[in-house]
Amino acid sequence: MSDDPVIEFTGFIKACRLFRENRLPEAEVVCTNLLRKNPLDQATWALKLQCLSDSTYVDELENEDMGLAETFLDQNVIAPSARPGTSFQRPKTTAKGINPILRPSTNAGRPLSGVVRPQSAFKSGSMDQAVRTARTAKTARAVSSTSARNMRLGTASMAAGADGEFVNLARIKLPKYAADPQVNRQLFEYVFYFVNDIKVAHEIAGIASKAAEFEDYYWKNQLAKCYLRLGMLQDATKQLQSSLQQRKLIETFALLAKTYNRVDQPMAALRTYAEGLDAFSEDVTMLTGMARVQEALGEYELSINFYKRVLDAQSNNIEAIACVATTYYYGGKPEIALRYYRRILQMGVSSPELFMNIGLCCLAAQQFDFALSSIIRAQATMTEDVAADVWYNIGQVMVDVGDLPSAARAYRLALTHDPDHSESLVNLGILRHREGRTDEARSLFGSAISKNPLMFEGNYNLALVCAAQGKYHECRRLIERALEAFPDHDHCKRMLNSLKPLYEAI
Amino acid sequence: MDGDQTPEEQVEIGESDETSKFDDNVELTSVFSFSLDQRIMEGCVISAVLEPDGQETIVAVSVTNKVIIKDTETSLNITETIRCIAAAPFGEGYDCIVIGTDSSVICYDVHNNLTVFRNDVPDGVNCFAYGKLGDLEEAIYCGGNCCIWGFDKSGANTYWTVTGDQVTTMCLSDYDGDGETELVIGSPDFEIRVFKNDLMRAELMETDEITSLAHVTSGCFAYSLNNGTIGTYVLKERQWRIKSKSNVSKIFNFEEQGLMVVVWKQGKVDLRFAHNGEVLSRDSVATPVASATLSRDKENPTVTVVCLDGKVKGFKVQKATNGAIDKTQQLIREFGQKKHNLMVRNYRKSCNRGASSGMELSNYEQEEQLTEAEKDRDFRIPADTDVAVVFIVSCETQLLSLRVEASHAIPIRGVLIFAEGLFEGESYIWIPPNEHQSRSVIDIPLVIDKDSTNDLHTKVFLGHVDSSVIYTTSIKKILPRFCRFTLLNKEFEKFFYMPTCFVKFKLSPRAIKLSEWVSESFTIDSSLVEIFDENEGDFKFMGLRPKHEKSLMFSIDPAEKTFTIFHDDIETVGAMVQSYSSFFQIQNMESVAHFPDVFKEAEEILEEMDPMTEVRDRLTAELQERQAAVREVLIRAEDAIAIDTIPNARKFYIRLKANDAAARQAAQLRWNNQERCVKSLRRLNKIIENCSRLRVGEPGRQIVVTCRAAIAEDNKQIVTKVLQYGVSSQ
Repeated sequence: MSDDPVIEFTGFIKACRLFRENRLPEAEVVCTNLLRKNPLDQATWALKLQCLSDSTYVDELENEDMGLAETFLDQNVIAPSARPGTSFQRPKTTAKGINPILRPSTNAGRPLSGVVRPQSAFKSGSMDQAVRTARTAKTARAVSSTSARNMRLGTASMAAGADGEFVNLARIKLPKYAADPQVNRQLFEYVFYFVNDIKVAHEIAGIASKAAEFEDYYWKNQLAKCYLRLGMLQDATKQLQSSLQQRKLIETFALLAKTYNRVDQPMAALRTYAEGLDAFSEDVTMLTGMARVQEALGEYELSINFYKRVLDAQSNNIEAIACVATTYYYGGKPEIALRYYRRILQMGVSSPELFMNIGLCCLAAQQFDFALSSIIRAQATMTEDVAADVWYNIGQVMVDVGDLPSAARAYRLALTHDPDHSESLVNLGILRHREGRTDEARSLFGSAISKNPLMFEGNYNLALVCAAQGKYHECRRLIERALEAFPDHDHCKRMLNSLKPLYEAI
Repeated sequence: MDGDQTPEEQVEIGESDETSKFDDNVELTSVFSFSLDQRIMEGCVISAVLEPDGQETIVAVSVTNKVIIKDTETSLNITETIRCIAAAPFGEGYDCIVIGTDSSVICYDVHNNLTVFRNDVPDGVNCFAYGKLGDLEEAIYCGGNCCIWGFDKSGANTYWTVTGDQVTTMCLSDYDGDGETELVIGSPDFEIRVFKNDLMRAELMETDEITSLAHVTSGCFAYSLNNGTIGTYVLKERQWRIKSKSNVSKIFNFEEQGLMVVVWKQGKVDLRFAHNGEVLSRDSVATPVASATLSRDKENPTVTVVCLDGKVKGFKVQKATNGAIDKTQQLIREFGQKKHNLMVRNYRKSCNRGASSGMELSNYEQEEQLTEAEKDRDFRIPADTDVAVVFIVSCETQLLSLRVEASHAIPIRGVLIFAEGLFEGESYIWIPPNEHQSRSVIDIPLVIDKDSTNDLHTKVFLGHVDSSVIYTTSIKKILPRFCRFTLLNKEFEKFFYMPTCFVKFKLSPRAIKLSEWVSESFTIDSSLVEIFDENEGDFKFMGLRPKHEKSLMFSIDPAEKTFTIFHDDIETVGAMVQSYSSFFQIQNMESVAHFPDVFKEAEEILEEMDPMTEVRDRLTAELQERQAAVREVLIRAEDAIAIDTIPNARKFYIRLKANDAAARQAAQLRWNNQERCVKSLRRLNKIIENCSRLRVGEPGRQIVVTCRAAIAEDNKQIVTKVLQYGVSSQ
């Protein structure tokens, strides 16, 4: 009492203020000092836990990072080959569905979307093929989601707790703290987000849920998050459903739908989102979720409708604008797409990708002056990770204006930035073939295929070259692979039919 | 049934032997056959309409734990071990597949690729029945270990009850012909139980494990047993049964035609009359049968038989093209049967000397022509020789025996007792070790471990040792239900061990003559029975082998009008309460039970249930983590091979081995825990069932319902109270 109680008092208040202002490192330092004086101060302890976990907080809803291990060694999916249109593995293959000519696909074989988002559980080809697909720093798919995140967050925790870990999880009396409603949430979040020890986090959530007599929806959701991370999807579903019975929350609906997506049941996910919409009408999270699922199923019309509903509710939703714009662009309406991109620009986003997109839209809409200035701006602001794509697009523009040598140069520049850029390889190959340098073209196509075996263009173009050279056997093999990527490609089918008599003749 | 056997089958037909009024000019014809190219799990075949306006499709489970759907490339992947499968019309105009695994029920909509519901059933599901039970909505009923669950189309639990044993087969059928369906279940403890809503309506004792049940018509269902018996019950009574050497896989009925199809595991397919079981037409498949289904979508119902090796063959019933031949066979068979029956009758008459006075049979006629000397030489037995079969209790050894005694000291050359389910292999044969040891009094020890009434068909062979003729008598004796207890004599007081447990209930005004029930259910000297009518005092019973260490005491208190049964075995007490109430036709009866050991066990199970689920959760999480590690290392190893760094790959594979071992260990731990968990759960269900049987009617049902609710709501203190005092005392 005789010491300075006033300063100690302000100390905690100060920490609280700093925390409220989101000045987490400073708040943490104040807490550390307070704890040094009185290590048993639970309020400060909890606040410090909160500071630490907030600094490494990840949105679990968007955290859809599937590693190779989860994708290929997963056993939770009931129907590996369900009816087309009811599974992410088999989107609709009608004219309005996946069409690699009208809408190019990503490195992992997905149709291109307006925004980059973590890949969902799309599995194409075998595991062997996926391992062989080039995985560079930019296109890397983590081996498994747990290990990937462990690695990233592990470094974070090292940096923060240079003088050893804040809470020694092996020594702490878990049952005591986990059952204490004053500190258990903070402790859980610390363990879940900061330490990333899911097993311990699961234990905490289990004890806390029991202490709350299984009536706290918060703990049910946390348990579900743990199960999701651990890959125990059925248990996660169970917890979320029971949580929904207690209280309907947007987060719970979204997590439940995410769980269904993970087990490849898009219909169930859509149903969950619809239930969520009943409870929270025109909710952006639900609508976005539905739009994403429909897009992944190849139902672009429906997807766009949902994105438009998102925009009605939240007119500055960039994901929705970008997706609508992309669909318009690939739907042959570049002028409308341009308006959407300009809207993004108005909202203050200025990235090289955006300028490039505007440039391409302008080009397609015959506004060459605008196109060139946009492209130049994209080039000026581009960073290393998008450089290859920017140069590739410049190459496309050069092809469009008929300057083939410049186009070839642009593709080569793209390849210097990213040697695995398979689209550039293919296009360069086509240019070489036009020049009559067939062998060079063949090797370019070949390396494009080896970088990305799922690519339609690489396989198809090489097949054409083979057919011209009379290598029918190889041609047939390539066409079959191309048809895997694009089952309805007419010319491929015709070529296959014309090859057939040759086989029968033997 | 008698001891004689026709080579193939043994038929027993009840009184209602009506003449065939059906058009028997039909036969089974094979319509298609193909192969699924997979080995199929036994019992796991259904036919279902999987999409709107679709055709019925065969859905089967392969031995590799995959669900195969005919004509599609789809095979469904279920992570848990599949035990049974069913179809339920939960979709809009089509069926969902319901899959029962060792820990849950999964309802899956193939058309939309979505899991409709997935519910935990901790001790696994053995069989399904879909339909409307009593006044409940349509639901899928799942039979597990000692309990039955019902789920509606949203997956909500609409039904739960406990039963005495594992449920191996179920069907929904109108058992008593009152227009409402009852749930008929079969168990390995030889019993068919009938539930009306969730109240047990009847227990039918059979002679072996029940393997399948099928609804036939209103008030009639068919059953089959592990020992090859098939038969039907009509309005609570057995109508007919047929015994065969092979095992039944499935029974279907064709209600309109009054026919049923029986598919045997060995590959036979019979078309039979439902009213007497006679075979109308036969066919067969070449390999052992996994299961069979009946598809109804077209006008002609088709029976599809799926073999273990995946071969599929379809049969349909149609007008016989070569009916004449079939008819001849039928006639021959009928004559054969008639001849057999006649012979049996003849034979019985000739043997049964006691009842044969004045019979016109040949050997009697001969007898009169013989001289006295000849008779002597023949070692004839006197005409008035009588054989008595009585139950004898040896108090000293606490053993119940069947005493067979022939008058005039005629030696007994052999005794043959036929009693279903009592002896190993149905019958008991006694033959003296050598001829000269034949005596006229024989004691056959009866060591019985089931409380059930039984008929002892005894055949006694009499004759002098040197005689060339053996005389046979046949006597039927009913074994009382609780023959393991006998009234205690004063001098054997030392064998009375005062039981600590009891059940106490109000003496019903209907139960005036208690002696009637006692004399029917216990082995008791008829002279002693009357003491029970005094309705007062303690009546001590001595236990006989194999329960010689457990005694029984009735205590009647006329002041309070209570009847107390003291006995340590809860199941036997339950059986006595049920027998008492059904004898006096008591509909509802409340009681107070005192079984400290049982209640303590229930309490212990309830105590350890929570920690156990927690541990299970933790172990599951650990297992998942280890499995994730295995997967990751596997990918890394593949990756290393893909980029040709073999030393690295080698390193990863070594790590994979270590991780795999760790994962296996974790799985083993989890399995052990799960096994224990399920075991105690099963035990708890059994305890609840036993306690509910200490009451009659509604109070018994209430106990099950209340216990279930209490466990679900985590209100565990109340459970033992309910078990002890019943629900109304709360």
